[in-house]
Amino acid sequence: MSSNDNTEPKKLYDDLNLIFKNNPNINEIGFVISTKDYDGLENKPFVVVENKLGFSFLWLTKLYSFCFHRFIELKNDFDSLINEFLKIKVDDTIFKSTSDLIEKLIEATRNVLSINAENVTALNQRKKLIILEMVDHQTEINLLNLIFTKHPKSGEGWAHRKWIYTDYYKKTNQYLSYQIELDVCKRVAEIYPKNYYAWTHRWWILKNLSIELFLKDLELMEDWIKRNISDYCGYHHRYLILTTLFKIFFNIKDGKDPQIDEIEFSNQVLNENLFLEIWSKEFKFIEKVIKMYPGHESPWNYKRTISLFWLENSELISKSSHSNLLLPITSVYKECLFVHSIIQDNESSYYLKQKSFAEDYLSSIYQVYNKDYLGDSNFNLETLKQNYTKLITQLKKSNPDKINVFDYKINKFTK
Amino acid sequence: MTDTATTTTNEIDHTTTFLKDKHINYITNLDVKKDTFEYWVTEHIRMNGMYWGLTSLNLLGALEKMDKEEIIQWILSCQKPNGGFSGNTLHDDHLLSTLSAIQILVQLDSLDRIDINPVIEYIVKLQQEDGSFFGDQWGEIDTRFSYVAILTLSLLGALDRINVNKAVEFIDRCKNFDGGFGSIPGAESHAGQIFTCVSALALVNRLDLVDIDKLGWWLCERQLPNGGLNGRPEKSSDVCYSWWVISSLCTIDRLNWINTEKLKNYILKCQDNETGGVADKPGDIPDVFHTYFGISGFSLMGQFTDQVETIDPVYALPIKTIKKLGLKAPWNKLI
Repeated sequence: MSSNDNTEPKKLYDDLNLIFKNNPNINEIGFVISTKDYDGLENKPFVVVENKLGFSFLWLTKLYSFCFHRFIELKNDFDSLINEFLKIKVDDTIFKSTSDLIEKLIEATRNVLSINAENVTALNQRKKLIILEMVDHQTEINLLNLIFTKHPKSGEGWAHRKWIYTDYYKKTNQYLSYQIELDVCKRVAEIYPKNYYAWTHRWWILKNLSIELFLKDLELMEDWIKRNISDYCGYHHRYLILTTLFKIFFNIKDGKDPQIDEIEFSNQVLNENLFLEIWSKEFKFIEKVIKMYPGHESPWNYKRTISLFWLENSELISKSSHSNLLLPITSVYKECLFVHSIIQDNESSYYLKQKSFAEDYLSSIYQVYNKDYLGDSNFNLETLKQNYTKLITQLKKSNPDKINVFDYKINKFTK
Repeated sequence: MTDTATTTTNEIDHTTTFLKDKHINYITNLDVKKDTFEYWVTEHIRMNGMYWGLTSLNLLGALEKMDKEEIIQWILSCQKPNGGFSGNTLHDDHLLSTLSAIQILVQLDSLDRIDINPVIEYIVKLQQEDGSFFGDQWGEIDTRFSYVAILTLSLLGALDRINVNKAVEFIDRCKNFDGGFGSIPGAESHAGQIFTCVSALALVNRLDLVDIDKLGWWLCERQLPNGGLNGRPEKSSDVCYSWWVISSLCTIDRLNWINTEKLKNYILKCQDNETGGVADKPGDIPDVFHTYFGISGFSLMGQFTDQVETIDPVYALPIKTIKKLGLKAPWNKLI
């Protein structure tokens, strides 16, 4: 064991504060097994290289327990101060005269959160400091950006972020930079794929903006998907944008999200031709992804989602004045042709999974045949039932774990 | 060399055997390890940890291994003046830890040790106009909190104190096109959130809002060729989904849509045959969270019934506790 192990925790804590003070541009934090790998010297509690701060694991437990207790002590002092303030109703200079305590509290909470971003009590303490205008909203966002470089999946950290954004809006009636929010979501989604919090946050920010920005995000995310074809979050995001545009275009106010219901349709930003282009492009795009990267569940899932969405809404489309233009975007028949082209594509169907996904997809499409308003005469009900039964028999063979599901499906379909 | 050889021959094959005694030892020794980093980064959610550990022991018939009075005293030390409970003595209150505190107290048959009225008040105040629930005074909204509020109030017999219709309406707004549920309206379907939404709807008799075929299909797609379950498309398998996916399948009566034998074997492989406990994936280090989910996964699938008691998929409590409290559970044929 290293002799450095005897370092007093107080010294570690002071050193950390000093590092933050002397390096105001630190833009990434991380935990390392040994700092030696980064600066070539002996293993030390901290290392700073090119504005990146590394904590050595060897000292981390000791440091964290000290940070936490230090924070609790300061928090207790702060709470008694507040109580006093509430009791005697002295003027608010009481806080100004205790700027030293506040400074220390800001440091302690930052140190706790750099190591453990889930410490909800430390996050709450910072909210109290923001309310008292001792920390400003933008500074807090910057700190969170730094913390997310190490803790991108901190649910509490993301909730804190939402609180800052909301609190700022309540006070100023203005949004903090939405661009910073969209950027951090993208960055974090890249460090940690399938990051539920980041994508939920992205939509929560975006839905308050405008149709123009929806369209811009759709374009941006096309590129993202090409680089992350197995990350369903990206597809779900596209689904949200596309179906929101659908609701706006057809003036559907379903009460699911009041903010979306309030968005006004404008012919100048979203006309019939653009709407047609967006949706037909989407079908082509996902088909291309499926062909280029055979055997992935996410693109197939997405294909199923948008096809079913379209087919289940085809009654509504068929009754609208856009029927002629929009209805042909897809149909049960078209989807059957697509699946057959996949199964017969010898280049890719040797990926067994691709074939299985394709058949599975087709079975879902068959189930909505009665919602196909294109009036395709290529099918009659009997042929459809026969095809479906054949398909399910095949699927049962290739997915023996799901026999009960397929039996259930076939019973229901042929009834 | 000789040492290794001997250990190997004496080792129990954890891929086929349920290591009951080792798990009991693992859980009862958890609190001793205060000098580890893991202890410190989970210190703020000790109440949840206590619930996972204590419920696991209860399912294994070893509740007496815990010092009941010590636990109760500690729980009391976590109650705040506003009625809510915190994750640990020095922390702030939260709905999540409040549910865990109540779940522990009912298992210890000690609900009479607290005044339940402030707890009820605490939860009632967190409901919003749109039916959703804040997790605490700071205002985060998540369908997990809807479940937690509804479940806690069910256990305290005070469901009539909130606007149930509004609560249901909010959960329904978080339902997705694929039949699943997300954390807020628009958020992607996630097995964990599905468990909370389906359970919340079950508790208020509104399973009619669940599209059982669509959801059941989505849930059974979570089983991977290795037998394990994931929580979203193309994620890797993890033992925690043995709880979230299976409990949802049980509540909508579709457990036979997955291969439970394969899942059983997957969870067995995630046991640690040296220390006891269950890990997220085979070969990883175990923790109390996954130990609870592994054991309750076996329980829901009706495996090792001679060693594991039966848990209810909605209340997340042993059915003997539910029966004792005289609660209704129409989704559960065993109650």
